[in-house]
Amino acid sequence: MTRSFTTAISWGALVSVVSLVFFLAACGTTAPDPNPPGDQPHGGTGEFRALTNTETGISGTAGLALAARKVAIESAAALPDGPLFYGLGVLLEEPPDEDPATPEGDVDWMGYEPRIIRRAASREGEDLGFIFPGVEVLAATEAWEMGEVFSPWPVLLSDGRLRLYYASPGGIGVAEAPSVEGTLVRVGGGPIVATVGDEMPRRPTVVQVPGGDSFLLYYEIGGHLVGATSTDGLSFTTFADPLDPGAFVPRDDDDPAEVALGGPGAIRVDTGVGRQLIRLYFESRRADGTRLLMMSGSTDGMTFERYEIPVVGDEDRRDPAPIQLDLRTTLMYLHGPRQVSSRQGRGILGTVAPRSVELVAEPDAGI
Amino acid sequence: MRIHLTTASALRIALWATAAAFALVATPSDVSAQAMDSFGLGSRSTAMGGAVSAHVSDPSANYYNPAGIAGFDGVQLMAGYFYSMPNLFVDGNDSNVDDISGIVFGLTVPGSIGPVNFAFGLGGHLPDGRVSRSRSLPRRQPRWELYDNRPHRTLLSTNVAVEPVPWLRIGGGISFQAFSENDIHIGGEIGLLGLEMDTDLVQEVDFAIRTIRFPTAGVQADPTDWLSFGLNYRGEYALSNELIGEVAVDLLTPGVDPFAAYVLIETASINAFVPQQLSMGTTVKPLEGLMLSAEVTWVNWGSYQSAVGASSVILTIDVPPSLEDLISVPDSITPGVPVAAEFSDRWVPRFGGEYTEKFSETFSLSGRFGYVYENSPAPPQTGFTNLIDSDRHVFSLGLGTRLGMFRPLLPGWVDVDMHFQWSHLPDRDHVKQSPADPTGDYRAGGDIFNLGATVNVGFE
Repeated sequence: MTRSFTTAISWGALVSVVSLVFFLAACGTTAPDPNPPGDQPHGGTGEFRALTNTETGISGTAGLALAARKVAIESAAALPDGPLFYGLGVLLEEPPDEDPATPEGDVDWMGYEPRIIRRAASREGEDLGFIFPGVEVLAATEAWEMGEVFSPWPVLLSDGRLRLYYASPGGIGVAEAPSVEGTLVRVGGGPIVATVGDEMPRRPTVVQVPGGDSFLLYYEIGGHLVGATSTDGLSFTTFADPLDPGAFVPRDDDDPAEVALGGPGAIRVDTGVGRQLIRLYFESRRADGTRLLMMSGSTDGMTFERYEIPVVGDEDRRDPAPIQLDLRTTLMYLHGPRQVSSRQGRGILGTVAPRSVELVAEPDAGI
Repeated sequence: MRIHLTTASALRIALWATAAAFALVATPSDVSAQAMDSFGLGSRSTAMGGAVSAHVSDPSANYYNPAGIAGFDGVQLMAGYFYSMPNLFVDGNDSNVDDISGIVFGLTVPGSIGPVNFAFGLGGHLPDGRVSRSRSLPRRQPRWELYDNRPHRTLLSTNVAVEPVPWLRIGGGISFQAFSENDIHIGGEIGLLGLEMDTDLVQEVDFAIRTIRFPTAGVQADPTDWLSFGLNYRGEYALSNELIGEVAVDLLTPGVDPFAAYVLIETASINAFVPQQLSMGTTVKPLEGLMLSAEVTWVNWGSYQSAVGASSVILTIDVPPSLEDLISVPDSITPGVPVAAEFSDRWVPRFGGEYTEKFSETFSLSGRFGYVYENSPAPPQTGFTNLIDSDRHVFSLGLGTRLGMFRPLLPGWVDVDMHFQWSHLPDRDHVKQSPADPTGDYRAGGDIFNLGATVNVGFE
């Protein structure tokens, strides 16, 4: 092998140029570190986490959004950027002993005054908690209501009127007000869904179908979910069969069987591509007595597919009431156990999905 | 500068290189991806949309067509830097895809054996952010599949080429890529039921950078002075990402002897993948100083497996009888199974042009443009996976100058080239089949901006 150079070059020049080029290139290595990996958007379907004390503006139990001493609260629902409507029972001054047969987590309402519905304003600023006690907006006055009203579900109509669906021992009723803060007046002379025998309908939840020209009503009765449609939101036609939220799939061999459904809370959501879906959150009641919140989705409000994983990790959260904050974020109020004196009670908790979202971390967080 | 070898020696080298290249083509190996496929190598070639297989005039030939290195008259040494800024969004939220930046470099050393020219070359990319990155995301986590982990790799390409006759060049080589392997082990004690303060864990992370290889091969032919053809092949490379997490701890509870818990989590996925690809290009010189190129690349994305890989979990806890009501250990945990990506092959057209005005023997100026259209190989993400991608329109502009006034200090010339590349990814809707899909529908799109400069020194 022979080697020769056809052109003489200056080795000094070569070394100088090489050094210069690599020096200039190496200067690039002083660039700042890349951004940390970011969280990608998420459908906001769950899993939910409890709001922090900073997010609710209420100290104490994480997620507590409305609570007070000597009261039991359940079945609340809020309007987007609006107040919270909730059912309130005040502990009697001399309540009877708690019925020892009351299941764990349930409220023995015999120890409380008849439930009424109140409206609580949100706390100052961007807090997601509410100010107790707010104002009374509805109490039982009609004979068919049988003494108390609870489980409110507000719907803001396109003309600014507020429509409030609620439950009572006699069935599901409707009241309307000219505005969110207006005086509620009952619509019609009786319930839109009446109690028949021991089958009391409870927890009404209503969404306007995409397009706004019809309504879907869901409620719980006898451990089932029922759906109904209406063109005016006042006269409903019930689906022929109980609503099927989709098959229950055990997470593992130890997952207790599902024995009942209840506590529905529906929301109509806009997706990132302009599609509108109905999401129905509900209680999956298990053979061991636990209740897990699950979610089913639908394009038409009548046929549903279930997401197989519970959307809230805690086992005794009930009556979910979701609100879509934006395309990726869902706020959901529900109630959990809370000790009232020595009795079992309930308090309103706030949750949010996705878990990673921080709602009040920055002034321009966009909620 | 040329190095002269005996004919026998040169032929042995050429035959060895060709045989090695094609042997590797026939035997796919696990190798990984790099930034060059997305952002180019060298400002001149990047500005021309990468449509340079038929005529590449600088050491970026090591990437675009190794046959090209046999056509250079002297040693060329290239170094540069580029910075790419993805602005990619999902439903209007910034996806925070990391910027990519780093050094690009190349070197070609030509020689001859009698009338036969040959050359050695090397080139590559050294990112300045990370040498290698592995990231295992939750199975349903949306990710920009082609721009997330994929460009964060170090590349070194080594090539040999021959020019047996003045109008034909043949080259091939092997490229090396860095990838990482990770094992995580955790041991110690975990306090339960009010004994959290007693938790004492020791973590060990084994991290290893390894290299993998893939072949490149190419041909260039110049039937006339004004017409050139190029053919280039790059092998498939897939980075197998295995993450093993092992936790072996003692659990502490009040009034109960410590009891053992063991968790083994194994995940296996394809973390980064670049398919085999074949480029066919042509370059014409219709006027003095004007060069136009067109090229089409077949990209075998159909062979992509998936980033959503297998996972398995083994959980064993020796729960004392007194705690069996509190601690429930499932008999088994359903393993995750790979989900097919269902990507499809694509044909990528590339166009580029360059006009050079020679103002003097020592100074010339070149303007360049390029355009590339990459249709997305990824289907709409309607099911379990969320491997986001959109079509990509790539527009590029460049400016270069050749300076020859450094003689006699530098017996040659210096090219200084710059490029600006804008990639536009139009919005694409991903509509889920299931209305209960936890990720839900989303709209994804955005832009990527890429700036860079290179200096190429040629010795005559």
